[in-house]
Amino acid sequence: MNVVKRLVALFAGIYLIILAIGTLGKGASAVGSLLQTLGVDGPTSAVGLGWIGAMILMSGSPVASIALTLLDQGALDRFESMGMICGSRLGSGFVILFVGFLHDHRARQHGKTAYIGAAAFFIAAVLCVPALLVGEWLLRDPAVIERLRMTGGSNIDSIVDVMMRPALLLVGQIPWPLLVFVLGVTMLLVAFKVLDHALPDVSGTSPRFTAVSSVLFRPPVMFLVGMIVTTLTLSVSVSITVLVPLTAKGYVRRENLFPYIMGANITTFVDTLFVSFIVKHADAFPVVLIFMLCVAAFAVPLVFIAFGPFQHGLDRLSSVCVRDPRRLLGFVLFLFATPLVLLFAI
Amino acid sequence: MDILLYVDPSVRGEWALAAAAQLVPALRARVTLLATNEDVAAHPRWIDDAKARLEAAGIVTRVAKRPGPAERAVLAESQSGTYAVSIVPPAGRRAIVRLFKGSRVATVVRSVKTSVLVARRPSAKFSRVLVAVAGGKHSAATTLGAIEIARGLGARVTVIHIRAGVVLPDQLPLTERRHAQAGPESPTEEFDQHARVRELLAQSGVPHDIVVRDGLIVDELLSEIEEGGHDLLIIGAHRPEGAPTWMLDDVTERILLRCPIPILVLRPPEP
Repeated sequence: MNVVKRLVALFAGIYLIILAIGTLGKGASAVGSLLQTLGVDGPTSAVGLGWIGAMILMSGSPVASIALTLLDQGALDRFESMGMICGSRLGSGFVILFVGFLHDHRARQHGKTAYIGAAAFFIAAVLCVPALLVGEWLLRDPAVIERLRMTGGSNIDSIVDVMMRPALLLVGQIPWPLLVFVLGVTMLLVAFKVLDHALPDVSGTSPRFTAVSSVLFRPPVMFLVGMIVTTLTLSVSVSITVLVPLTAKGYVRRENLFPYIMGANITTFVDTLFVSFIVKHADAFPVVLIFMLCVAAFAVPLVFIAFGPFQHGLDRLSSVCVRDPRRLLGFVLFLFATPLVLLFAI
Repeated sequence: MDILLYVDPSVRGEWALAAAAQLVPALRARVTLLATNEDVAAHPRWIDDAKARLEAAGIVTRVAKRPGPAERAVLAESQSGTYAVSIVPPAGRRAIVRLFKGSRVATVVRSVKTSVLVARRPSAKFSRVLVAVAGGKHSAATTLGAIEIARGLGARVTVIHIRAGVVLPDQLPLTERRHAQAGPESPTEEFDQHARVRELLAQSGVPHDIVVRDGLIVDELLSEIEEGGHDLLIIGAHRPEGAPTWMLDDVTERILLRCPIPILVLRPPEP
């Protein structure tokens, strides 16, 4: 019975994602003018937009999907779309930090959960910002884009169209495009929530991984585990909470956590890749694939060659930022203000 | 008690002799001085001089020679006797050479069944002994061994526990609330082991203190060594249960390679 429930949740989640993308497409015209008003012009401001979007929606994945929809509707170009995807990762790192900050404040245990949020943010920043710089450079080469463009897929398109047409016709009756866009965003959020119910129960799993709180795994092992788990969960946040039932008292060794989050930061783009197939813009797939490969290109050498120094720096930086309540509050406020500066001031 | 002391005619061989001169009387042990045939052939008088220096310090010493390299000689000799501790100096290989040849001390620690003292440059007197415990079931055994050594050396014991665990958020936006299990390595058991360690230290009469630090295990251990002015590090050697070896990180090896002071890797007695 449990399996049936999970399968239903899986298919419902996928259906909702596709429907949400279609709905977003119908409402994107309203957002295009809004983006012009906000002054979104170039990758930097798009990073700010993605970051703020992830903070508002409390998740990065829906924002990355929205970035592709806006690319499809011409509201963003491919450079801005990649910038917004990058911003969505930074924003989702901030969300983990913010939730940890609130959790610690409520539980009166200073910095214990916020540490993971700080580490998640720094990992996202260390991987995604250089990946964006290299990715934008690659996007300038038309030959690279041309080589990666998807051809075919008409069968998938027609199946999707048939499945979605009745619901999209209903959505088309709504006269206000901005409302349609908000409806699409809501659908995306519901879709990811539904997909969370499709995850298998890991509490009775193999003792190999229940040891994450007590033994130290090799960094490449945890890196691969992070990649595999996030291919299933699609979200770094979900992948982090998936570890909870595997641990005693919810503790995990930080040496195990860092490579796990790094692996998760690569395969979290699997759902965005899926969305790039659904939107019909020829550049959507190259944008996501290039960014994903660039993130992987920065992550792999760090895990396999320079993990010791990287881990040391990451731990020190995260510890410094959460060391006392005032500094943590300052750090949270700084990260809250940064995307506003990126969006409006640069 | 028998102690196997490997030496070579380098400055690091001198470190091993100096460490042995302090540790062996503390343990009231006899020493087998081991050298490779190649080193003895190249420096004929050197091994006799080393023996004479140990005997002048009142240490009963015999000499054994075996074919090199050092790792093979130590392994062969340790298997042929009833040694409790092997004392081995590092080979002094730099990172690139170590990449190809491996680390001498790491190889010895992995392969011999005895406890191993890695003889980095020792201080004139082992007066501060640092003992790292993980809070698991081996903590008490490691502490007991350290107390015995510290008592013989007349040293102060500092027990260090590094909390590497961080709290996971049990719920994030768009996720369900997830609950942790009470595992065999729960903080309750960790606390019980700490209580046992405190009890052992209190009963021992050896001057002691307990330090708890938060952070990465190797980093915090190295920081404590530097800040606390410790002369000897004692760690337990045990294979964690619950996961295959190829998946596990070798923390002992990382400590061996980076620790600036002599390290005694205490092996628990065979069941």
